[in-house]
Amino acid sequence: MLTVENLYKSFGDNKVLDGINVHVDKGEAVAVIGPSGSGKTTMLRCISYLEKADSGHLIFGKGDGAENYDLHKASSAEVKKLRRHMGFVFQSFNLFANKTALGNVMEGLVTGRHMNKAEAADISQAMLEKVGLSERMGFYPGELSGGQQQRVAIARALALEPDIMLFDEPTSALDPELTREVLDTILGLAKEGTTMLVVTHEMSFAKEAANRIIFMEEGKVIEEGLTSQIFEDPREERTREFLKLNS
Amino acid sequence: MSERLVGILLSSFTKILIPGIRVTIPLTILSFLVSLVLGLLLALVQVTKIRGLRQIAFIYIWIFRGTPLIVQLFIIFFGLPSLGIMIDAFPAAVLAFGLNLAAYNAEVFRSAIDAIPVGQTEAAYMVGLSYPQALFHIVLPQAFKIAFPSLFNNLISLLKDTSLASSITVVELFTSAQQIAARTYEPFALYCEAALIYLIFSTLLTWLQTYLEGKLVWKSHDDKEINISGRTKSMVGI
Ligand SMILES: Nc1ncnc2c1ncn2[C@@H]1O[C@H](COP(=O)(O)OP(=O)(O)OP(=O)(O)O)[C@@H](O)[C@H]1O
Ligand SMILES: [Mg+2]
Repeated sequence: MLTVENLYKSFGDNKVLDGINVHVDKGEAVAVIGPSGSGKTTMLRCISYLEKADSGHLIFGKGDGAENYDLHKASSAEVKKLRRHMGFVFQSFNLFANKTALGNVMEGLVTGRHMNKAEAADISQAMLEKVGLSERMGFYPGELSGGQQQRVAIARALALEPDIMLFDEPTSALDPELTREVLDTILGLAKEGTTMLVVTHEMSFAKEAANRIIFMEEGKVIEEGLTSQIFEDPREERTREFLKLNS
Repeated sequence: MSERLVGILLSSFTKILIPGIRVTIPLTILSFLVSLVLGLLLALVQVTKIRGLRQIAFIYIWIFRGTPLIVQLFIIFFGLPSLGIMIDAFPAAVLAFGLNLAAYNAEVFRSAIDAIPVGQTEAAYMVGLSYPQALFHIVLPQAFKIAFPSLFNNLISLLKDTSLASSITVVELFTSAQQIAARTYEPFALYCEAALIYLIFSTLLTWLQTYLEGKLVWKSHDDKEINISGRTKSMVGI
């Protein structure tokens, strides 16, 4: 469903992405792991065009209907079309501080997609229920815990029915006791067959939720494989070392 | 205090207050509106990085903040006629005060906009908003709330600065006090009286600020739903 080809990105002379190729199939949950600074966030940001890659392509779909995007020079119409396929969940939630939980979820539907408010409110309420926040719809982000904020952010992305969800370390800004509720929410989505690409530091979560694992280091994909293979029998020495340090 | 002086103070009070209400206050409000609109535009061309316009905004702010208000006022009222541009005293004052304060309000707006985490704009993009939509639905409402106290501060300064309009023949609060002082030879009493009236006006403005800040609550899409989720915050405001 989503294929990233030859993604390169430098900041100055810091080569952050050094020829990344990634593929995610429909219904798959793929976890991206790797040491800090290996370029995981940058990869997600280039895929969603929040950051302009130096070069690279993104192919969406298969066969004749496939859409091909140049991640270095997409027009703003293309960027808009590209992002319509994706939901993005940020490490730092990035909820709209001037909107309630419900308002946050409705924003994309009402302002972005020009849906009428009543319909948008119905969808949004259903999404907030799904992430277990029906009691908190009228609360502003500042009145919610970090875990609740992140679940609102997940609902906000889901409400637009993206083809793929991108998660950038969705729990690393949270206190340990709040990570579980967010991970359980994402795990539930994975079990439902939501297509997702999840950058995570939580190895036990990756093991539980992902079909496949991608291990990145220094801007390269070092190894990828089925979850069981990566955790039980990694081929690369560097993968083995990383897993030893992070389990 | 002599009976004569008390009589002068009493009879002059309304003579100063009325031009205050009729001239000083409209002058303040109109100039402030000009400064808000222009200030916001100047801030926007800076944050949106529109090339060319951005430099113009920079130069504008540099000039209007770097030269005295009274000099700007004189250029507009006494200087422009020699270029064939005649402006009456009152509109000249509105223009001078508005253009001047716009430079300050632009900085207030710009730093308030800068204070909104860029992640919110990125999140807005990812839910399908365009840049202008992100600006008007997410960034500016928050920036306005941050800017509000500083804008109000500038409004109170402006109220006092409008007394400079007396130097270009606008008959406002201070001009009236000057005229009566000249007639009665009681400058100390009359100028203190003028000060008192300014103080009353600015105190009222401070109260207004406190009241409005309390009212400044976000407006979400879900004004109606607010009751079902058990919150009671009033949803008026921006
Ligand atoms: N906007 C930027 N400007 C300059 N350098 C950047 C920028 N964003 C990221 N980098 C650099 O790119 C490298 C990769 O950063 P990135 O955030 O993608 O890593 P990461 O794998 O997500 O790390 P972490 O696990 O700590 O989140 C780092 O060296 C970082 O300093
Ligand atoms: Mg990261």
